[in-house]
Amino acid sequence: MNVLVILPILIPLTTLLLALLVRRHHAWVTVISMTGSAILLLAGIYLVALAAEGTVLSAQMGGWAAPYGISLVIDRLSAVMVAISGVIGFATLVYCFRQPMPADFLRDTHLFIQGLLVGICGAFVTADIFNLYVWFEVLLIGSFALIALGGGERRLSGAMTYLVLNMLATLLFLLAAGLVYGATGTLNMGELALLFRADEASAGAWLGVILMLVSFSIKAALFPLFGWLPASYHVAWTPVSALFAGLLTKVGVYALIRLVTLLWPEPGVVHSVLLWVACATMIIGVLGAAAQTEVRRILSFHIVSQVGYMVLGLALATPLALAGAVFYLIHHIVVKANLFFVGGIAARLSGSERLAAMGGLYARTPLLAILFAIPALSLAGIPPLSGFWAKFVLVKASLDAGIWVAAFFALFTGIFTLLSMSKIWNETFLKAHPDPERIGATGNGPRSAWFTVAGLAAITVMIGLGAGPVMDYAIAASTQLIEAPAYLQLLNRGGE
Amino acid sequence: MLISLLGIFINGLCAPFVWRLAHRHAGLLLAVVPAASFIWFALQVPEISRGGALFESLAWVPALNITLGLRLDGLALLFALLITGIGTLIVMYSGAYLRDHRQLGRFYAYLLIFMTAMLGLVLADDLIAMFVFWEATSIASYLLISFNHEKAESRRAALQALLITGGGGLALLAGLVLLGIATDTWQFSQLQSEMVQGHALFPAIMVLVLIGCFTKSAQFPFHLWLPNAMNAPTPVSAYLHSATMVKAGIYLLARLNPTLGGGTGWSTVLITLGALTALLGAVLAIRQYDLKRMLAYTTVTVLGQLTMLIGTNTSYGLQAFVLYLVAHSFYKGALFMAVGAIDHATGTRDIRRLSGLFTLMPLTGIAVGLAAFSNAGLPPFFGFIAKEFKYAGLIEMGSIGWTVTVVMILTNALLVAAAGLIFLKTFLGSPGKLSHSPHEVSPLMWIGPLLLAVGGFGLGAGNQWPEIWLVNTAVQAIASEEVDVGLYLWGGITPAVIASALTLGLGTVFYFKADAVRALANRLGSIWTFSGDLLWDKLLKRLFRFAGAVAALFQHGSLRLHMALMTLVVSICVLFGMLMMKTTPFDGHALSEVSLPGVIGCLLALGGAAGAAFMAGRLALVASLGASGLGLALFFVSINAPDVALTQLMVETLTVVFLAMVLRRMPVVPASGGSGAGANIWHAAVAVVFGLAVTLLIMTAVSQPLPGDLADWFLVNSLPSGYGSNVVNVILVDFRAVDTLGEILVVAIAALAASTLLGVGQPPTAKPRGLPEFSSLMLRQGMRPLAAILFLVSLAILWRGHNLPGGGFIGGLVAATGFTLLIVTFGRGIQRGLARIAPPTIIGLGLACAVGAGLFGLAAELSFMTGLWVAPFGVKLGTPLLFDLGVFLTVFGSVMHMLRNLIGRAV
Amino acid sequence: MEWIGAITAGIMAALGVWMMLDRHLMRVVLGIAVLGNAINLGVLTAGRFAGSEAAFTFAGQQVLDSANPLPQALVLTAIVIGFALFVFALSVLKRTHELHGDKDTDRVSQVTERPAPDQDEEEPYPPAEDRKP
Repeated sequence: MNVLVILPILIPLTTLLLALLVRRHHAWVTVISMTGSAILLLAGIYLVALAAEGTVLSAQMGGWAAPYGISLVIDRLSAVMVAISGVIGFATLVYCFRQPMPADFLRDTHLFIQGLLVGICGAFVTADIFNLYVWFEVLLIGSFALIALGGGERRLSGAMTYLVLNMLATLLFLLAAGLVYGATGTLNMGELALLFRADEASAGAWLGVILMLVSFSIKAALFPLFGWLPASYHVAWTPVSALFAGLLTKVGVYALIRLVTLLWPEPGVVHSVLLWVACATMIIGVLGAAAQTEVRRILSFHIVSQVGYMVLGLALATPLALAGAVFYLIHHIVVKANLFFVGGIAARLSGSERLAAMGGLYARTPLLAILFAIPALSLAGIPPLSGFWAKFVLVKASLDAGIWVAAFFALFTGIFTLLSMSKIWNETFLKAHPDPERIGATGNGPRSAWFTVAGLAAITVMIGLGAGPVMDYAIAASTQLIEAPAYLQLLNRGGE
Repeated sequence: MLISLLGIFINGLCAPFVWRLAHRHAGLLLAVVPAASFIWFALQVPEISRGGALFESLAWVPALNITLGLRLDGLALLFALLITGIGTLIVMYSGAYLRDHRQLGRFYAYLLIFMTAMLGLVLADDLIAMFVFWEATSIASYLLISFNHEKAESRRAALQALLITGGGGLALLAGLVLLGIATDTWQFSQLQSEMVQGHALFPAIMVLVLIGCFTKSAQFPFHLWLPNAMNAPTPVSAYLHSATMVKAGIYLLARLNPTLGGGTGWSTVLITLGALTALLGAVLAIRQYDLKRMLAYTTVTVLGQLTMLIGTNTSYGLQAFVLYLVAHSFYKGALFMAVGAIDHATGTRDIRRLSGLFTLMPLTGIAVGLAAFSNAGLPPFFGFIAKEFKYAGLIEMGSIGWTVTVVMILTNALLVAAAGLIFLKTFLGSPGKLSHSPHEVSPLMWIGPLLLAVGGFGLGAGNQWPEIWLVNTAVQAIASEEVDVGLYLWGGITPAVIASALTLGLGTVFYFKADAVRALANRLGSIWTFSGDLLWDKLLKRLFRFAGAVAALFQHGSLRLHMALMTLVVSICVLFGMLMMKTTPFDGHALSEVSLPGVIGCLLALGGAAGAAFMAGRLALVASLGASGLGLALFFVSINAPDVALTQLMVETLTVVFLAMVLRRMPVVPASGGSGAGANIWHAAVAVVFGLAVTLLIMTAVSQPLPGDLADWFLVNSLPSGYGSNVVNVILVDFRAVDTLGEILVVAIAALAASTLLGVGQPPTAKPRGLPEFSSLMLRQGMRPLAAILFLVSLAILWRGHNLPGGGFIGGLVAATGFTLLIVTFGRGIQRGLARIAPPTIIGLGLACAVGAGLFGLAAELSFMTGLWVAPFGVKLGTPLLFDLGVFLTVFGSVMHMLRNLIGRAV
Repeated sequence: MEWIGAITAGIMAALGVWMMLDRHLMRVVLGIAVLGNAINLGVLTAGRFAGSEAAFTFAGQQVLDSANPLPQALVLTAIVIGFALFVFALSVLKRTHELHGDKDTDRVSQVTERPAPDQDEEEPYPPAEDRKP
């Protein structure tokens, strides 16, 4: 039990330090890194299996009782997030395998991806606010390292923008953590939950938490704080972009969900604000995407729009809506990373990332066309893929709650997403390439990249067709989020 | 039913492979499964016609009550037979039509997938399952329309169809969800009109469902995608855009008629829009010269009429609906396929150039003839019965019915003329001038049209048979009440017969005066300057321009603007929150006393910060920043935080060193505020508001006494449980060790990342020398002992940190400082002189110590990072000390790593 | 004293933001450091400045009027993390300076808005001879 709770952090951390010790032997680094990722993936699946039957893992670090020591809690949401991170991490490493880049570049990528995974998994399992800040910092520096890797004018410029704006977010989080401690005397999420649910939080505590939520909103790229995302995601190396797109903003969304459901299980003023923010985010994101002319830029704006959906589920606050948010999280991470990966392969085949300079891939590689169509249709919400169920639940939850506006925005955004995806499809696959000689001039790329894409597409199809069990899990997770028994009882646990 | 769905689907997936293997015969091979399904459905006819129904169901998402439920009743059976039957013929036909196309395999696949989706749509009993199939048909249609994907025209048409039907689909989804909420069930078979009609949501449901159906079935004003869909290959037009997919909306209207229908709103909308669409389609049809587009517009007409017929909700009207449905599928499918054959054989579809084909293509000609007669509604064809009943149904409605009947007579007359043009003009008369001499097409291409056309004749002539087996149950399924079904060819001189006669007469006139009619229609058309299609292009363009404007708001590429916006939003949120809560941060409870050193520290910190903010020059920047840090350190001392002060001091020192190294090679930094007065004021405002927010936040937080007992608990338990007197250190390495673990990880990754960046572009052959400023001999002599002392001191700091000010961090930083001195004096080569361990290895060792310290606890079946202590020879050793060592090594290694690369470049 | 801390933190935060909005990229990076310092100060202040002794407990002694050790530990962590991130930012800055030659904040960030380079035009990763082991 104790081991299991710390595994999500320990596995990538151990992988990192082992790889660090043998870093001169690039092949060893690759082996260690991929093995570590695979183990993380398996551990994640095991955690999900445990959580699905209702077990909530919880441990006190150092054996010190809460709220003096740091608590870790793995409930359904945490478990599935860890599992998905394992999947995407592993998929990214598979994609990077045998890419035609310099060996030490690949080695560095492996190291930093492991570091990033430590931060991501840590954020998902912690139940302590300052500990969350530390893991956010780990994932931040990991992402800084990855986005700047490879250098070059454009990439470093994007890295600088990303760095400055995210530093602001993280400093705000630090301040908020300090303020919350100052106003409540605790850093433990369970104790905070008890405080807020009993309506005993002081004004200082409220303000501190609000600042924290704003900081998470920056991380999650909500309107109007999302400007950093389309300004930086598209300049990194493709697999790094995919990893970021899949996981980074979702950590922010997770933090929002966790904090809001813990502190305010009933709809309140925070939820109303989040509702409008979510609607604005959905629309502005998808409009921004419609105006872009490069594959990754389009997809970056879509990340913003889709985060709006997840926060919509959070803002509606009914169990069904929260389940929708959880389902959307799971579905979107897989689909978004997949789209970035496919975009990468398509760009390599076409010789460019700009839509105007791409084309002719439908005739040349029908396989890639199918592998693009699956996540693209899923993103647009076409049944029977995973995206449809996610959107369906959110629309139903909005209509159940009588908030027509939200349902309208959700559907309206859906049609625009479809428009965007078909634009990419048209330009990249259907239309003829302006310079047909260039197709495939730089080779098809490593085989492993195709495995990644195919694997992720298969997962999307499976979630779509097998939506039953996933939906059951999501609904159970949402109930667990609202009731939060494990968190509320943290204070009653003694040390071990 | 599930088996047939699955079978056709798998058939579709295998299609590309079958085609690659069997080429010429792939059409026949692939048609086997649909044919088998057709036969199976036909075998169910006796059972269903007796009033029974078949149910199959598969649980899909039990949590939401959604199943993959299938129901076979009269209406569904009718459609299923049409879909599988015509589908089989189309598959065979496609084989011949697209014989030499490279991507024929994919075509088969899409066609069969479409067939699955359409079949699923009509069989579905669950609202959401039906929607799944609904959207699947849209996607399949998109793939098929864009089949000739190299042409921009095809792509545009496909996108238009997708967006219109997709958008309607989303409206439909909302409507279906509302319907599900109102009736608390997702099953069609359990819907009852009482549940819905009185419900508050009823108008919304009706409107949304209607939008969905109208977009799918190309009713006005959504009709514009259907003619453009003719860009698809002819088999697609024959199958999807006449016989099946466009009927999906009609199907849903019929299916929901018992539940939603019967009210005046429903009927009015359906009749009005249906009739309007019909007339519009007919007028536009006459204007066309392209056979295919003519057929497309006549399809629009018929769809309008079908919609209208459901709206009538009369006995004759509903019978007419079913009849017309079947008749149209038969003759339209035949006509489209035949037109494809003509196109294939002659190379053109322009009626101005075609004539006298009968002698050359007799079989196709017979098919077209029979189909055209059915189209025109001549007895004894099925089309005639349909038309008769339609008029009867309208007349049954009373005064409104008469008006609509007149409109319909006009419409149908135009249809007669169109039918005439298609058959008489094209096939009779003397052969016209054609590019190459045409010949009859292959059997696969005439068997389809012929079968369907003959079917249209046969059903009409022997009309008892369809009445009993098919029409009866279908009509019952869509009617709200029991309907008496009886088909007949001749029922005496009824108003309907007179109407039919009028139609024929008028139609003949129109045919002979075709050019005049066309000219009239064109004149009307010129009034109609805003064609839907052009509007569509304009709409899309406007949309993209708007999107561009929105994107430009956030894509300005200006980091400062992003930063300013973000800071402003944060400040506003916080200040707004404060206003909402009406807090006053000015609570006069006991705060700590003001101490002079603290104030001096603050002033120094502020002064340094201000200097860094405003002064120009590199030295000024570095010095100000250093001063600011010193001021802070002084402040920390004044508030009794020695460890923090030491850390701040060491960090400040190293910061200054790093800064100096980096700034050495950079040009002078100008004074701040050089961006113009407006920008300056704006930035100053943003900064001031933010500072204000921060201050108020902190003051609000401290306005009440500190709750909780964390501080006291740490103070009390540090020595007994943590075996350390330095409470801060015990917190760092024992109580909250996992925080520190993450922190050293940050330092490690930062070092590795910074080194990767800095390590680029270094000439490896350059001799790593120290900085020239440090080359004085005395300095070099003295530096080694000095560094050695610093190293020893750092170790001492590490050791004693658990009980006295110090600890891993400070120790590591001190050691790093010592190393700094060495490296600036002697250059990178010093590394080889000292230990041969590379800094990243030191970092790795440090992390290993830290993680290892935590693992001891796990090994002892306790929690991670549990402190375990032993006391060999009276010296207390424990895992927290090992952890502290790990911190020391990591910090030392990291700074060393960063410095090496920095110094390497600076020289 | 808390108010003095709060006011100082506020003014320093304002100065930090002012610096981060500067035209010269170097000042932006330094602004991060200044803002970080301000926030650290803020966190310490929020923990109150109670106590007249440093947080040390010795055997056999009563726990006297000690300062609050928890915010001190938190700030210590934050200082070190801030330092690490600052050095990284400096290295990005240095590399940017070497590549661009330009340090105008907006001109540097504009570069990301340029259209994507074609695959064979992309700036090649530094050739092998230039890299360190």
